[in-house]
Amino acid sequence: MHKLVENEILKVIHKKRIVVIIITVAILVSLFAYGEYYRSQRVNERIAERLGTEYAEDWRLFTEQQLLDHERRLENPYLTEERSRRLSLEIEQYQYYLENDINPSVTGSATFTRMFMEQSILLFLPLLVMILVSDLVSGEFSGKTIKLLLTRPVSRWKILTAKMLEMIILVTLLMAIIFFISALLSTLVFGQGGWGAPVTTGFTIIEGRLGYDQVTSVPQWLYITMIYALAWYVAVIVGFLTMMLSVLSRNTGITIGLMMAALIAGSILSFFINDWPAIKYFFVVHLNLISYLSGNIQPAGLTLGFSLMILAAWGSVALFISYMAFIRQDVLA
Amino acid sequence: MIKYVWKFILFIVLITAVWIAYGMMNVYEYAPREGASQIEPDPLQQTEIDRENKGIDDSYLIMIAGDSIARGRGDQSGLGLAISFPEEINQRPTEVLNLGADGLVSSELYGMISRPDLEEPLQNAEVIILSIGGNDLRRVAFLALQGEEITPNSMEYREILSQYLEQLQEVRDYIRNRNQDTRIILIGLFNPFEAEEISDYLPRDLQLDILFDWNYQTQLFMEQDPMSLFLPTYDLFKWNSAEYLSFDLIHPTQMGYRVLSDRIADLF
Repeated sequence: MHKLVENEILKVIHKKRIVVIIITVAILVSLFAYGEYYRSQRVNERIAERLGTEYAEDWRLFTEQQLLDHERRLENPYLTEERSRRLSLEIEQYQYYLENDINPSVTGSATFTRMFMEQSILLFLPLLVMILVSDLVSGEFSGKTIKLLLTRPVSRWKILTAKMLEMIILVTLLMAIIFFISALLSTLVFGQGGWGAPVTTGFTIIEGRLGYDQVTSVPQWLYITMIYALAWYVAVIVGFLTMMLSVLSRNTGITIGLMMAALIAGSILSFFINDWPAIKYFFVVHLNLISYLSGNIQPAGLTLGFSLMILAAWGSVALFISYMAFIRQDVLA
Repeated sequence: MIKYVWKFILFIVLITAVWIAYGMMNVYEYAPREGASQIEPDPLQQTEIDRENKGIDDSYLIMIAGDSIARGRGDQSGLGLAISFPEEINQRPTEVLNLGADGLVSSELYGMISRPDLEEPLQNAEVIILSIGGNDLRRVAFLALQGEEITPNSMEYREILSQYLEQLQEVRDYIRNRNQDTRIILIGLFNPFEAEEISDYLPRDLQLDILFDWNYQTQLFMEQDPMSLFLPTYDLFKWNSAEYLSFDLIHPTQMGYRVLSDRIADLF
């Protein structure tokens, strides 16, 4: 089995697919980083325009004022518990910025690494997974090598298992590639880090919406570790589904096309999730797992556990179908 | 050579796998859970305790209620409108109860002031300072931004103004039912339009027409009650907006609050 997996990986290396992935990620990260850099320049210009140059040149003044304002708001005895929790977390963030000399209006490399994954988990990450995975099986058909592979004295399920393991290895490698490229390039562009900056998380779900009554803050590096872990999970599930389509269709183009259609359809369908409950069993709706940690959207009665379960269910069904189809497939055609 | 690449990839993948496993463990820790308590701790009890500690009964109580200007937003000292009040008035220590909340509109003022725990302070208050209406009038500015023709006579503006006056009436009746002779001071508006950059949509002379009409109607209303007063503020900020207004052009700076507060303190 070990030899089989090694052999599969060697094939991928020969096909230069990983190089294509690295270049794609590097181009996208550079574009994104430039956009972010440009944006923060513009924000500074606007601050200078509105508040006078003293504020733009010395962000500490501005941050200190924000901090003071928040501290005073916290003194109001009429605040609700929820509001004062949020305020004290924001205060903690401002204090961190001041103590560690980090300008909050300029993105640091940690924030960038985080944002890049938050933005790409829905579309870009699944797309990269497809590029890596889509022809693992169908490529053997189009290259006519499937007959050579299946006539070896190795059972079919072993071959497919090797390919599945290969898929997981590639996805894991992909996470490392995305992390290193975005951390490296953004450090070059932005200079400042901010890996220890506090990030707000730990939301509760109260009657189907995210609540703040238990929010805490975690250092940004830990937060990034968590969201990359969730992204890995999503990528593996997308990988299983792509493998299934690849086995069934034997055609790389059709595989990518169908997966793209599902992703795009899912992002449109998720608008209806409140009125059409059946949508919540569709896997694409659950791809944005990060939102449970970041509190960006209101999950319509969804929980992280439910989303993980749905994704796992789709993944295992896809795995099952792949094996059934691959073992019984007629390769003479 | 390619063997080494494979070993290298395997090495990276193993490290990444450990990293991801660590992340997964933490996800479990910080994943959103069902909210444990939906019932907010009662803010009323909190106030009760605060009031007992302060011993409001024998002091000269000044209540400030209304929007962010009432709260003192923009003033680093945190005192806001109370900044120039003397420490003692009529040999009684001055006590300030500030209920200001950012963004409050007139329809929320009644709810703010009619809470049962404020019953007692309302009965004891010597002065009640209200700052309200700025956020109502900003709604007029947004209507202008949406392309509505706004003049002092247009329906939309009249509607908002009359709702505002009705709310003020309710608030004043509520206060008067509990306290016949407390002084009510309402802070006039200075320039809520300045910050919106809407001169393309609402020419400056029309802005002033509306502002002055708003203030005039408010003043007429306040004058119906002998112990109520409308405090003009437009003049204070006209030539000094650079010093007295903070960068958002809505909230006074510390100096701005000081001149406002001086003007109030002079009334006693």
